[in-house]
Amino acid sequence: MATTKLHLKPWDGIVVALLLLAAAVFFALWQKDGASLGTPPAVEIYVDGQLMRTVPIPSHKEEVRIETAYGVNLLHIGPEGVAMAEADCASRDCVHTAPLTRADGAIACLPHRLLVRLSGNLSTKDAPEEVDVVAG
Amino acid sequence: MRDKRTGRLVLMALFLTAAWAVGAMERLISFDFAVPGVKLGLGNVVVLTALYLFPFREVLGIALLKCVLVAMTFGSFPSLVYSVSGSLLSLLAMACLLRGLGKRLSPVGVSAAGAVFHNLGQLAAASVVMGTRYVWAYLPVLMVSGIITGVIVGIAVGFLLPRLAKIPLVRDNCPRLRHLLDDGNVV
Repeated sequence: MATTKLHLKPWDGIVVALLLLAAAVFFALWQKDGASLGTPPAVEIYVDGQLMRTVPIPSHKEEVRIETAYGVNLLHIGPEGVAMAEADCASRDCVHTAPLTRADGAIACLPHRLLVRLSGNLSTKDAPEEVDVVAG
Repeated sequence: MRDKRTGRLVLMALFLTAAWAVGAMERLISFDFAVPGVKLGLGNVVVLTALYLFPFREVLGIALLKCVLVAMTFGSFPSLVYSVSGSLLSLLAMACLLRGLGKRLSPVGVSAAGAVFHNLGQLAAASVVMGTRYVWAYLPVLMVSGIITGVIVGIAVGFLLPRLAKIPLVRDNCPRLRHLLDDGNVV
């Protein structure tokens, strides 16, 4: 009959080690995912390649006015995405750029040396894959 | 001679009651320190022990009825969704491990895997119910805490099984357990 001692087996260690490894892999994956989980993403506004402002995504649509020595841009940010609403340049290519929802996209306004990107993906459903658009 | 089926019915009713009582007890112990929702998972002591004693289908019944009973007495509908999803995945994982590696694993390994899959099931349900994938950020923390609590639960089951096997009601109705213990496969 069985004794009252607990007998661990080698496979117990293997199973526990595999589970810990899986936890570590998941952790590494999410760290790599641009901190898009856990903390809600924010809008990062770069001028001349320097981070000028960081604006958290508001729960309702908001306007952000960006005034620099190069010109004025009006940004619409909200939970659905980030879009350039106005720009006082000739081409206004940035205004025609598709709204930004993912960390791997960006809206650029070259005449104003302005770049807008997201620090993480927005949790909009079936967000389209975005391609970086460089405006002239 | 006593009816075998009656003895088995009594035994399973006792298990279901124990599962409910442990689940109820666990709600009284506040165990939330770092992450909301981290629990000791003591209910798995009963479910895992049942897996060593009864066929899978009967354990499935115990596990599901336990979820319903706990939700009816203490919980709500959302908590029922989470616990059913977690319990099912956990039970499946443990049953597969027992079937595939039962001779090479002690209850400690089986229980650790069961706890991690319980967390997986709960997070899957939470991400569907809340419509966000942000909840998956909790997974690594929950997996590590699940492994720790799972090992504790497994140790408890490891000590429990040989003692249960000495009880006549269990010995007479669960030939499965006696074979496992005689072969030295469990503990």
